[in-house]
Amino acid sequence: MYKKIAFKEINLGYDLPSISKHITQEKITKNAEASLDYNPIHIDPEWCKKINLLGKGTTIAHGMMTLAFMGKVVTDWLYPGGGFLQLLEGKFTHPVRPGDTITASAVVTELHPRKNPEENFVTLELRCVNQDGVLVGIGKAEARIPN
Amino acid sequence: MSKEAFLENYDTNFFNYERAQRSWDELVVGETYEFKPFVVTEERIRLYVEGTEDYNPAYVDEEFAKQSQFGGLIAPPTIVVPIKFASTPPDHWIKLPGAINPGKKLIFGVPVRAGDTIYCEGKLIDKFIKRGKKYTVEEVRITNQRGELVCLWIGGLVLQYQGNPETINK
Repeated sequence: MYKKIAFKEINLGYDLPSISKHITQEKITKNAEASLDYNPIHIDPEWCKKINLLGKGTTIAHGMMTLAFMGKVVTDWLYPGGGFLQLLEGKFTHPVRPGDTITASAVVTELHPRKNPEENFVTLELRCVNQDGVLVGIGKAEARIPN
Repeated sequence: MSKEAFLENYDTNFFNYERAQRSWDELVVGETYEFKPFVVTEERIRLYVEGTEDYNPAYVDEEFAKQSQFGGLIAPPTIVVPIKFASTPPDHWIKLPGAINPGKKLIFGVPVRAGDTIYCEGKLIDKFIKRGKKYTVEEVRITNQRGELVCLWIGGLVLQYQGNPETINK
């Protein structure tokens, strides 16, 4: 059903399928319940309006929701393909707000062969942009490909 | 399977402990934090899968997971987020209302599985001011009941509402 990923078949510049997600307050609140991060910047629109949060006065999505989404691009490919996630790293460069649609992508930028082939891994550059092309997240992942 | 258990003073309303929070100035690089061990249940994993809308077969398809490199169902790797928040006392700066997340680095070891008891040991490894904003950086070593490394979590927050003149009108 799922094709195993072979390290020697991965090329530099391989673009993983990107994924998009529409953000709503409902999804942000559901993520708060799932992640147990109930910071009011995510779930209290009235308070955010009162303090004019980040100059626009709206709630913002969890940075970790964006990072999990960026990681999903990798694990959608990696886990069914027999690999392991070693590292996930991201910087959140612009707020994600209700009403935004974000698109995450990943590209293989480095190949790391090892004497023990079970330790071979690749590095991927991760990006996430909103509907206006504004970069909301940038990061890196390392995926171990033992096949 | 054990039920998940939260801290006695666990509170989803971060405002309730805002006054108990220390200011950025009071934090000392090198200080360590004690976190309560957390049992990860099937229900918590299900909630997290649904909350992140990530239905990877490794998390939800028992047949696939048994045959996979994992040998059974696993939790999404970023399950360390609810684990961290469940384990952390309400007066820890990670729960300061208004604090903003600039980024994180997660180095993964073994995956988390339902039934695991997860332990977190934290340390403030840096605090700095950049462009007028006050940052913290924490390193958290996250392990399971077998002492295996689950994740090394490195990152912190911008403590936005700590009298920082750049944000005083926000």
